[in-house]
Amino acid sequence: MIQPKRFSGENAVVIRDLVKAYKKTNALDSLTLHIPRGSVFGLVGANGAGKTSLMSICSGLTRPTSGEVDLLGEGGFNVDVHSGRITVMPQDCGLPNYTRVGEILKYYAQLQGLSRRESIAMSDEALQWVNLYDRRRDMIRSLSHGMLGRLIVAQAFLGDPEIVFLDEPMSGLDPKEVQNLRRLIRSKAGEQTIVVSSHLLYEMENLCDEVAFIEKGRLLKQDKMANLLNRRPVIRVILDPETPPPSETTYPVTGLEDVSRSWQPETNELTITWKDEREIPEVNAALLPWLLGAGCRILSVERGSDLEQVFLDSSAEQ
Amino acid sequence: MNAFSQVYVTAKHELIDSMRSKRAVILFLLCLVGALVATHFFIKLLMMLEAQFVELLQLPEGADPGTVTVSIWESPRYERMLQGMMRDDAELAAVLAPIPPVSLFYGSIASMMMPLFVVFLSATRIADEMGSGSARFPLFRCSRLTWCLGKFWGQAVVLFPVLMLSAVAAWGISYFRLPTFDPVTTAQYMLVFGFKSWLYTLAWLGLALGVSQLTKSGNVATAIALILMIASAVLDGFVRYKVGPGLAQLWDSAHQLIPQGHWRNLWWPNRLEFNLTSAVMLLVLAHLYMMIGFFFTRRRDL
Repeated sequence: MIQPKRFSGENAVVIRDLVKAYKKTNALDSLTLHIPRGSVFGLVGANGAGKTSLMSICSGLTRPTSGEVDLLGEGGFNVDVHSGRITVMPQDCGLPNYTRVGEILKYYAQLQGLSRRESIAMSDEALQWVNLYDRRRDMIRSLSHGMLGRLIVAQAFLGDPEIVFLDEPMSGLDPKEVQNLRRLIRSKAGEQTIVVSSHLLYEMENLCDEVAFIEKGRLLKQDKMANLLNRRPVIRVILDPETPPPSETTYPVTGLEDVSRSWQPETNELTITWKDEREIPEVNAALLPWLLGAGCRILSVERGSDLEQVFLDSSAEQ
Repeated sequence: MNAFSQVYVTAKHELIDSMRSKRAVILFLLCLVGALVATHFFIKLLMMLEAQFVELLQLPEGADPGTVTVSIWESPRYERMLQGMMRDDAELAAVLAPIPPVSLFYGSIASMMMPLFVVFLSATRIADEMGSGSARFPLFRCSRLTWCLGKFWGQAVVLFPVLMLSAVAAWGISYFRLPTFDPVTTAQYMLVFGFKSWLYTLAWLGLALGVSQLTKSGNVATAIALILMIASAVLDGFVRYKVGPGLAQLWDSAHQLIPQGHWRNLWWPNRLEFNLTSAVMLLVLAHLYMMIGFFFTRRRDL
């Protein structure tokens, strides 16, 4: 197979003022964002935010109403240019029931331009990635929902694409397979640009280098994951339910007067947030002696805020 | 990957999928049963006519079986019947008269049944894939046009052995029940008519797959294809029997846009120029119907 020259620009995907209008609503409403090459990029948004429409447009399955999409520096999706270089795992799609697992991947690989031999090798490898190699001779209709999901993930990685769009790839997978998929995606990062949408924000937090929050077809915020999580410093401390945190009157606070503390008895979680420049270790240095001095039994201390909270805050700010 | 390779890969997958999903088997069984039953009853009819001939001519009982059938076949009465079958085309009837009647009958029944089966079984193909979303997987890998053409040729390849095998089955019945006909000539003509029926059915396959691109529901696609089939039959009948001299040219032109308009030329024996013109026109029609459907597929959001 003749390998096309791989894209070496800074951004694998650049979207400008993208609009997708349906009869009554705009799924995308002047969306502008860029996806750095080689990153694992997360698209986060509520249902109907426009994530699926964005992926469909980027993979040529849907036509934009207006706006600009630049993929790999070569303009909008063009099957003659991008076949095999840009792949997608669409959401909620069936596969032909009466085809064998290995054959369907071979068929897709051949459509991408791989030779028969290459397509067999590639489909076997992809099936191994998603732990379905032993089912390669089975009919697709015999697969469980989770297995089908893994097969659909596998087809997206056929032929070493440069950009992979994964729409809710974790949906329906068991924890072990979620972990395996996370490992697979991380192993491809750097080499491939992987765009993931998911409602499992905890997973996104662990997976993505950069995230864009989308709401009602518009970009709310886009930043590197590290920046997003550190921008709003939070420490969460889980305490033994028998020893709740002390009030200021029963045990005086030292060094934590200007931080806000909130106690949630349902989850035994004490959340500490602050707005100045202090680093987390500095706050911990005051916080933990205060709790221990008051006789609290600390079960765990978690650093930073979670993506979910950042998303909810961003959404509320709008 | 070039377009031809994509058509080939898609067609191959379509062919395998047809086998696995048993659509090809269902089509084969329908054709087989249809051909066997129809041929059986046709032979029975010939036998009945033979008995009437024996009575009419007061022939001795010991005459070779089938002798009178050959007489029927060579009689002016049969020629007139054939002329009626050939839509009052005396010239065509005259040239078809020497062909074994059972071969002619197989050809006429195959070209009548196959389009109906194809409309029922193939009109769902693209619509169902669009509806289930499975069309999305190939359509970011190859162009929509090559995918549709691959579907068409995959289905077309399925039809060919189905028709040939049903021809063999019909020949088998005639071989045992009508020993007076030359089995080699009968088989030759059956295969030729099977091939011609395949060419004729391709236009209907194009119609079925063209319609299949208009909707995401297989049932709706089948219904539309059936309605169009009935409409074309009405147009065909209208052109043949009702058109007056004034608008004849206009209606004849319309007739060229439906498969029935090219059926007669396909049936001419030993007139290759007629057959080729008809075959080309049927293929053009098949692709024209596909292209009309593709006009919608091209712009559709998947």
